Amino acid sequence: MAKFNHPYLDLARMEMLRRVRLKPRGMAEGTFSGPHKSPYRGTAVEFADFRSYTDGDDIRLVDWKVFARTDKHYVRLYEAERNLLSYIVMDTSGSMEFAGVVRPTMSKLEYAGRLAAALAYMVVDAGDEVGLSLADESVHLHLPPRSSWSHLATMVGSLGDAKAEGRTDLSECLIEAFQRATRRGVLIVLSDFLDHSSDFWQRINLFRNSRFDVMLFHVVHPEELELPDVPMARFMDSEGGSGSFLAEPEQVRKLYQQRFNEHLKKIESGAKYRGCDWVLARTDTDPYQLLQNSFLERERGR
Amino acid sequence: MIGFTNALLLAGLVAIGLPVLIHMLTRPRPKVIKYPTFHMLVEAGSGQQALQRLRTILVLLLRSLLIAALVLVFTRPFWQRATHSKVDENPSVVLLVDASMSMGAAQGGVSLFDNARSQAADVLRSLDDNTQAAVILIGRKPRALLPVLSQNHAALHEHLIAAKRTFEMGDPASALDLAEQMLGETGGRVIILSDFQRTNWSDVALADRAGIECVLMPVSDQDAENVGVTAMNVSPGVPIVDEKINLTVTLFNATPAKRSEVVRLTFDELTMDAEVELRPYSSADASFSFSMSTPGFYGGKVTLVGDGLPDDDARYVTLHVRDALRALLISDAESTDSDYAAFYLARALSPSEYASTGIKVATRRPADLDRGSLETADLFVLAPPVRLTGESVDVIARRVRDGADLLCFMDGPQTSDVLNALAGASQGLISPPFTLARPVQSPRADLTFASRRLADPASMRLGLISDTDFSSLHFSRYFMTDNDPARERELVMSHADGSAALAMWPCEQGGVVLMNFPVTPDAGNIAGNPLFPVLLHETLRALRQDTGRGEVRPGSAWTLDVPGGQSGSDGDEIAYRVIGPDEKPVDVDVISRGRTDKLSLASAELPGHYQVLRGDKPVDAGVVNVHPKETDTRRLNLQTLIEASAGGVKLAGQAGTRITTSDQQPLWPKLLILAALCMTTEMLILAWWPTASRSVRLSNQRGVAS
Repeated sequence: MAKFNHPYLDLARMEMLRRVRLKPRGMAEGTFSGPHKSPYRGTAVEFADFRSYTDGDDIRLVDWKVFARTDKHYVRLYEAERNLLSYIVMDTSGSMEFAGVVRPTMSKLEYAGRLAAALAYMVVDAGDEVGLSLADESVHLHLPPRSSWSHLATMVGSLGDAKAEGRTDLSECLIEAFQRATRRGVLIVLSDFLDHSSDFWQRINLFRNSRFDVMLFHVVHPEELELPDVPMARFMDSEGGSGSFLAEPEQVRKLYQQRFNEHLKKIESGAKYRGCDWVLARTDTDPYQLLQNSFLERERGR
Repeated sequence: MIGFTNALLLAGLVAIGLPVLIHMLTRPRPKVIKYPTFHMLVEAGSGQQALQRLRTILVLLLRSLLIAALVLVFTRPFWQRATHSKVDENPSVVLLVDASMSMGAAQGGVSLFDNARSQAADVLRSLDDNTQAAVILIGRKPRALLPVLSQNHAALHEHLIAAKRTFEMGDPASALDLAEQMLGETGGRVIILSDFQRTNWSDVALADRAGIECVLMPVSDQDAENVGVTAMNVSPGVPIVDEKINLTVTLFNATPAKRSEVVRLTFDELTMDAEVELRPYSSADASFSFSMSTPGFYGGKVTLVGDGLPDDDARYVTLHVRDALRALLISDAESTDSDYAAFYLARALSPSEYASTGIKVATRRPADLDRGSLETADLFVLAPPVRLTGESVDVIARRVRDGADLLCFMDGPQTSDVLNALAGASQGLISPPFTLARPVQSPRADLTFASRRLADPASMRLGLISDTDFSSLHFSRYFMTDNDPARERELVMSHADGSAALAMWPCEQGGVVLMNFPVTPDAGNIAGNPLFPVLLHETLRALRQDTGRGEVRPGSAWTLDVPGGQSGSDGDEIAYRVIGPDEKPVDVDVISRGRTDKLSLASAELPGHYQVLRGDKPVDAGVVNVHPKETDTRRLNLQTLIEASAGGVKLAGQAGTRITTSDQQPLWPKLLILAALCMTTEMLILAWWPTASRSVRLSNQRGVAS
């Protein structure tokens, strides 16, 4: 196992994820052979089907017993097991910079980065491939799926260097990610989903229709769930929008909470409706614990 | 048009911004937060926030309005209509503000003087700018706040606000004279603010002043209920150690109800109470008897339970207790010669040196009189035959004016010379209330006293002999006198033909008694009669009675005689200090030094004891008491006065009587209503329109409860 020395990846804590695996709900279409079922026929021990012998087939695959009975050449087909392709799309827009005011935690970007790093480690550790797209208004960094430790190191470094800036256009980024994804696998989106227009769900549908397994990690800060407990604040758009809003949080807290809960429910129901996994990732929780719980939950729901 | 009486106070309107300033300073400083869900927050909170902002703006607006209204109330705004009146042609106005003691009576918690001052200030404020005005305080002497008429109303107003009530008796006539003098020939309007106390105003001629219109502004519509101590009489005025001292206190009830008052006498550690029943509008006496065992001076006071006018509820007295009364018997005859009056008088005054009559008699022939005996004597007894030197007469006359008593027996041919000399030396003060016509003689010695004017206040003091039958006394001669009808009350006893037999009258601080009958055995039986010492001592006692003469009133400069002091060790004369009732030093000058030092003091402002210290040692004390006339707080019937004045005097508030020179309508009541409305509305908003935080707390509490 490669040794990593990056704050985003706590290998000691990763031990608790040793028993969980990222397994696709469908088929895996990895480049290399791996532990996951794939739609291809290969050399695995699991019998799949017969087909007529054609030129070029390996003569060792001819089933001689069937030839003796039928006087025709049939070839035995076995299932091919491939490795898993995982695509991580992480939101790096300005809204991900929020780290709290009264109860500061790590920023949403950092939290999402740690989640992505842990996921990537899990994937690479299982011999699967993982790719990364850092997205705000567009994908500004794309690492195609690889399964090497050096690739993982590059990924984690990129995550650590990511800066939260710019506006969010997740729909656009997902299209870009879809176009670059050559084979189906697992799409993991880490975002606060503040840009959840109808386009966004169409892009998710695109992935789902292509048999992608989709996991949405909804990263929120506790002070987004409840307004910061300050007597008065001048709120500004963290994604660089103009204007400000001077308010006594106590005065608008109730209405705001209603709105935000509606937002969460909308994302969750949208995800469930499309067969996606939706995980609420609060930045005040342990990311490794969150991953363990969410994967165990996913396992139970298989 | 709108005007402001205190336009300078308009500067206070800057305080309107105070609520906003406080709001800005005290509201929490907003923390700038870059918030991811900014748009969601704006959508959620904009409506609520707008309501809260509206609430804040409303509250701040109401508070600012409240402050503005209150500031404007203090500027005393008014709505003025331009008017033309007779006063405009002659705009001079003089305000007479009564500052006498009776104006200290409180009605509704505010003294009449404060009321008068406030009303005068109102009048001043309402005057046109071109009106010449003056303010005169009525006291013992009128005091103009500014020496001449002035258009500087602000300065007058300032002086008026700083003016204080006095403890003096008011002299409105002098104040009116001064007002007339200030107004000059052009005349003008005199506005009088007073309680119109009957005792001060009954003799004042208001209507006889040409060119002057008097407007009366009574500061009270009812009599101030008052009971006060009006007089205090100590007998004897200068008592002797262990001598019975009678102190009579006179109270006056200036209320329409019968009153029962407890009078308290306090002399150092001595405290005595007496209860007095007082009929409406009448006087009654309370008496105290006591004695002092050690010589010295004692400051005492008589007090009543406080009422609406507390200043006359106390009266002060200083008691000088002597170890003995020093009598100087002056006669050309030897006191050992029983053919002459001196023999009998000396023994009647002091039978022996062991008998304790409290009188030490020194006998001198006129030729032997020395300055020391003349200056130290308390009582001069002139026993015929006597022929005084001019220097002795001068000293005796001065001493009597300063407080010594003179007892003169008229007999023999020198009598006329002695009386003339004394009258001349005293500038007529010791002149008898009669002139000597001729001697009356009776060989049978059957002359006797014909009548006693015992109802007269002077003879009433002869208490012990008022019922005594003097018919057993006979004598053979006396002087026929032509009595002065104007001074009849000083004649205590008379002969059958109406000639004066015993005359008594005050002479400044002292007293004089003339006895017009012989005290020798050859002229009758009076010398050996037991009634003689009685008559002599009772006369002396009456003479020594403190009649209150020379009593010092607030507002008057005064003199005080104190026992002469020794010089300091280095021969310098030790300075005097006088400490007033308020524990503040009083200006004092020494007029003369000697056995008695005469001090001149600045006019006393406060009633009470004025302690005299030589160096640091108290040597004497003087007292200042308020004038008894101020106690009678009954008001004059102004309507009668006005009717009698044939239009020269008007009462403020009557139809057609305008106090001010312009028609003004005060706006401050409306502003007060506005301020009250602002405050009420703000309270309602604060109570019924809670802040979001409060409503959240309430909903949380409800949630917990449910």
